[in-house]
Amino acid sequence: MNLLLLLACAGSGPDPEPQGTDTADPVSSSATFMEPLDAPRLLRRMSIDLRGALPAPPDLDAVAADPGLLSTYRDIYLEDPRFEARLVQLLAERWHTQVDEFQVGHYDYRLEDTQEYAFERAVGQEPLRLMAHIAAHDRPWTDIVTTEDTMANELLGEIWPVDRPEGEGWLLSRYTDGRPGAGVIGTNGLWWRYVTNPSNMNRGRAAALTRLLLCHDILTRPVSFAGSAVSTSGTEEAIATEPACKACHSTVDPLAASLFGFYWLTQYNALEQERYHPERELLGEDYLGVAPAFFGTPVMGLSALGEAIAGDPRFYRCTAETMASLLWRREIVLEDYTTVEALRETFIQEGATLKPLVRAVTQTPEYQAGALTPDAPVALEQTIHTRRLMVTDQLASVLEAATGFTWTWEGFDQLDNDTLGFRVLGGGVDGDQVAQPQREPGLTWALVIKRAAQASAADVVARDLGGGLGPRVLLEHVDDQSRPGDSDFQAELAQLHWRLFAAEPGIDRLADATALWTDAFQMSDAETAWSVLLSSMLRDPEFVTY
Amino acid sequence: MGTRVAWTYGHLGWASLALTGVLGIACGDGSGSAASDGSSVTTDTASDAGASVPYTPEPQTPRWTAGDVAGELSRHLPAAVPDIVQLLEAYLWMMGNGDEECPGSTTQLTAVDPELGCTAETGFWYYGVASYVDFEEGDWRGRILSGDFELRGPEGDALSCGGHVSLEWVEESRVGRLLGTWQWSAAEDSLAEPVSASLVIEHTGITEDGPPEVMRLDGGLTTEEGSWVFDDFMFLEGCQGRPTGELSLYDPARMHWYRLVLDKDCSGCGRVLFWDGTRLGRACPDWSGMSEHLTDAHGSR
Amino acid sequence: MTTLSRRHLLSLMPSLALPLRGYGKPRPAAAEHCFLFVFCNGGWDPSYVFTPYQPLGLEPPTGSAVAEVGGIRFVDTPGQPAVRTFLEGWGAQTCIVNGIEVRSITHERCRRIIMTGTSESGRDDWPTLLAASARSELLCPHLVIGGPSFSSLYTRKIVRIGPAGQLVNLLTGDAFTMSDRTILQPDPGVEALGDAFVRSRAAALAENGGRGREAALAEMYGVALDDGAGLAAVAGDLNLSAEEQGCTNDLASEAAVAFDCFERGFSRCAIIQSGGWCSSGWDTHQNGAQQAEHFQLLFKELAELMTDLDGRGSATSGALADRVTVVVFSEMGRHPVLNSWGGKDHWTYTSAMLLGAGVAGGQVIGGLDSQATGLAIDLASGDLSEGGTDLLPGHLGATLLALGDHDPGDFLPGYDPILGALR
Repeated sequence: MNLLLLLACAGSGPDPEPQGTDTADPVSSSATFMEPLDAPRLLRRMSIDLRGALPAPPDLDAVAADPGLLSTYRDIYLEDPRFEARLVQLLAERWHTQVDEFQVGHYDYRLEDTQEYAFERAVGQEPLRLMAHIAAHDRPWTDIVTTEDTMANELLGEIWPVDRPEGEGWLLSRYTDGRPGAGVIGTNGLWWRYVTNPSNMNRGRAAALTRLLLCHDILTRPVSFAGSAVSTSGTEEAIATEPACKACHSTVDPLAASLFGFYWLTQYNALEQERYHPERELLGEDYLGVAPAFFGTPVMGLSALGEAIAGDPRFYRCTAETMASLLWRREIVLEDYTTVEALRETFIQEGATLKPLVRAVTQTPEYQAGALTPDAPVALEQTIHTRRLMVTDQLASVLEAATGFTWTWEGFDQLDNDTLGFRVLGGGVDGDQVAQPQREPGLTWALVIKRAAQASAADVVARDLGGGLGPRVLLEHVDDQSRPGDSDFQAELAQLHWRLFAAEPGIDRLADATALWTDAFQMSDAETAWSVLLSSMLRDPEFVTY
Repeated sequence: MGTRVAWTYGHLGWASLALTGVLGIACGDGSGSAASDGSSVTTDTASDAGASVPYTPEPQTPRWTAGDVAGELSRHLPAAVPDIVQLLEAYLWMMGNGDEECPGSTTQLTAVDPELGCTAETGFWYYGVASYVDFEEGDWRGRILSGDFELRGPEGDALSCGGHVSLEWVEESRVGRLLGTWQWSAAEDSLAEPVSASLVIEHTGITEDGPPEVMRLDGGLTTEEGSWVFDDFMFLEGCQGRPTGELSLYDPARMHWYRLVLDKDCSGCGRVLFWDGTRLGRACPDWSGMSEHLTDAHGSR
Repeated sequence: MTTLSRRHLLSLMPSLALPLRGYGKPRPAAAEHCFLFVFCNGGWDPSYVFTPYQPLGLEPPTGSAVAEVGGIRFVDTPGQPAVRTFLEGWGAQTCIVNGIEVRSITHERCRRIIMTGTSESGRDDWPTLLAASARSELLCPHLVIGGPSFSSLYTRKIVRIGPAGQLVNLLTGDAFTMSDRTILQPDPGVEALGDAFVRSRAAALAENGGRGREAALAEMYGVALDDGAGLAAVAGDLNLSAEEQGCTNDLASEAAVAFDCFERGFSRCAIIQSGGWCSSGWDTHQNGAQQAEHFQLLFKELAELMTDLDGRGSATSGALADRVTVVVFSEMGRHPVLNSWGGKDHWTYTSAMLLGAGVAGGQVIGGLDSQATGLAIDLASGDLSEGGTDLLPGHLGATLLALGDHDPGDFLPGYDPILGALR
């Protein structure tokens, strides 16, 4: 059996099919070395990225027959309600607001410990939900820094000074504390993550703003200090007079001066941190000695700052760069410059709403690449991610969509937190110490996959073969009497492979799967055999990568 | 949970805090450089110079005229400054209704569970940290309360604080400070709703009858009625309740600031400027009641 | 990327579908230089131990006096006799480095800077870089038992045990008890079938994946599966559960876990965290005198773990202490002047201690001037040198990389190691 397993093909499925007209004209010279994924697997990739779910078998059938339908499905996915939720998780990888701890805790609002997770996610998701909503509803992307709206769920509506309409879930809301309309930069969720203190005086926040919205990371600049003075006056003087200091501080300090409405005189206090403080807006100039300005342009307050950002060319390029990075599942490198520039132009030409940009990114060879040509430079194997790792938030979403399984415990989503759960262990981003999703398999990632697969498989089998009410979720053909050789058994295996991997299995792979089922059945019973087979398929490298 | 560090300010004032240390922001060497590892594409602003963008920032034009500013001030400011003494009294009253176990002191709130607080047998609930001090230093006396706390009584009274309040006096002078955000449910003034402030209130030449010789406000204040920033804003004896100095007023609809620079001749009138310095004209707000409000509210020690 | 190619071995042994590692058996102890990082969370006050303030003219801790033991000049503060005791026992292996400028005073940023050399988010920290550069295959290259961990390129080299013991629960299947739903753990025999199947799938894909990442990811997946099985087999011998550190801190026990992993060739690096006395944290904005209690406990525990380390090894593998360096550090220091609460606020200059293998002990490198700012040193000798180099976290990182026999320039261009700290 071992030899059989080893002799079995990797089962990559049929040879890549020629693409239809979905791929954009390559801009980058590296594109000539990229071979696109076949249509079913590209559909799978887009479905995971844009909806957090697998495509249904009939959809796979359709694109297998006609790859030209990929663009149609993409457009459908962009209009899918799950696109908004998926964007929240994608943007979280960059904005890092889904942390497990803020300076204000759930207990400060006398929430139960079982509400800790709900509290932390509500706070951290506020700016993400706003951006995702703007994108999903085809609003100008500039709204993310200019709108008076925010998003609030029931919990935030209860604890913060927001005016939230009646209804369930995340809804457009407005703050009632006189804060400016400035999109995400007017949200508690952003500034509770990016805090400051009396020495820093919002400078760190200013640096976060430029990094997130303009892709202008001040902190990457080399530092040149020639001895620091300990006294306040020495440091403050140096900022204003030393050329090495002024190079950054002449930009940072005026930006920081515009953020003083969020300057807290007491840390760790809910009352201070949940409200905006208009009377402190003018403190910035007092404290920092400079008037609020955005790269030399005076601004009065957050609204004007948001307007200035929206009018900055870098905002658009940064958006293109960010979405490319998030969907290519890697950092942008110098070689991507021309492609990103083309994406930026498309973004602007299409009216600067996010969906056309996302569409354009998914049409790039970099997105669609499934393999490299034999003559591709070795360096491209590192930079072009022809295969991507599924990490915890994607796994959770895909499993829930495919099997209905969710892993919760005492109010926590176990695949979305690190306090009690497995988020970072499973390759996710915690927004604090882990800034990027894991790109390569590791020990703990494999363990999380294993346990999640086992749990969800057991759940599926209990439901689908348990004879209970309700529609089946995954096992459509078999029952507990089905045996290898039965037509329903074979059909189920084939469909599982197609549904989970977007690849038709060869005879050998089906034989391997059948052998696994048989071995497990001999040790236990049919339900156990299906459970171990299903869990193994959910751990298969073709499932956990895409 | 994190350490409950109360970044509060002692009676020395926040201006004299040791604001030392590095600011956490790297300075460039002036020569301009790319990312050190070369792996990220950091946009050089020069390459985008001149690139068109599909957005034109809205011009920041004033919504109010000078007359509007006068009207806003007349309507909302005179009674806005809260009585800060009531905060000290409320705190002591509530702390005095605890027991030896909870909170274990009539003035210091330090030993309660950091996540749950504690409930005394009286039904009063105590949460957070706070320090109250009565002090004497030379001729100066004072009362200082700093903290990050919430106190609740069984009847629904609630005192919430993230900040500092203090009252210091010597002979005929008194200085009150209100920093942070405060709310006292039983207040009959602006403190009934959250008040955010970085405000200093000075009285000099206090007499038993009539207003002090000088009443001065410096700093910022936000109540439900609005937001203001005072800069040497003073009521002088002999000015018949009309102030001098400067005062800024916030328009929440546009998030703009307007500044009123008052005449030095106690006319109570002054010129109105938009935040960018644009002159909007002259205004003469109705200051009736404001100096009395300030005198009465802070007349007790 | 791993240097040992399993694909190569697979091609040589086509009949062997089982894991190539003998999991359950210790691997031959690779002669890796290992590192235990002890992180003191919150910002310790070097004036209590490391940086004598006399005659610098700044406020020393009450009752303290400058003393010297074995070439190490330190602050002998009442309430922390364990410091002297430790230096008397281990001072010859101890190098104190003072005056490291972190260039920030916020906890979050300082933690990142002290461990990666930058506040930039795309960098791996020193233990991760060292672990990723190990010469041999390691089950858990960098074991995070407690404390911060920053990773980017080499996240897969990190094995976190999790603040609630998540790793052990995943290994044993007890993770299923951490669920609102009832989830039954599979029978071990049946589970093994699934494990073998997945492993074979990974191997097959690694062999046939073609150009691109498919094969590479599959190979790494195979390694991860092997490592997981290997760790599961030995997890019972290792105390991998996270324990709530109450008033009975157990730094030495956590260090013992790390030493077990070093001894058995499972790990190259590990990090543990000291929360100070009663885990109250080193961030003493109030009651600064509590630093004495923290240091008393810390040095007592350091003595215990060094004693443990000293007793490990064998005739065949050699003394473990000959190849383990302990790095004790904190993300920032504390302001030289007391605040109005009787404590001290943050300060950008901190200190670090290097103990053990490869360290030129019995010395103090660097210092603070009368303004409590760092003094420049000559990196080659470690001597104070006006016009020399101001110490930054990057220099600490370069030193550790050099200790690990790596060229710091490969990871940290622009930072030279403090050669004066190395034997």
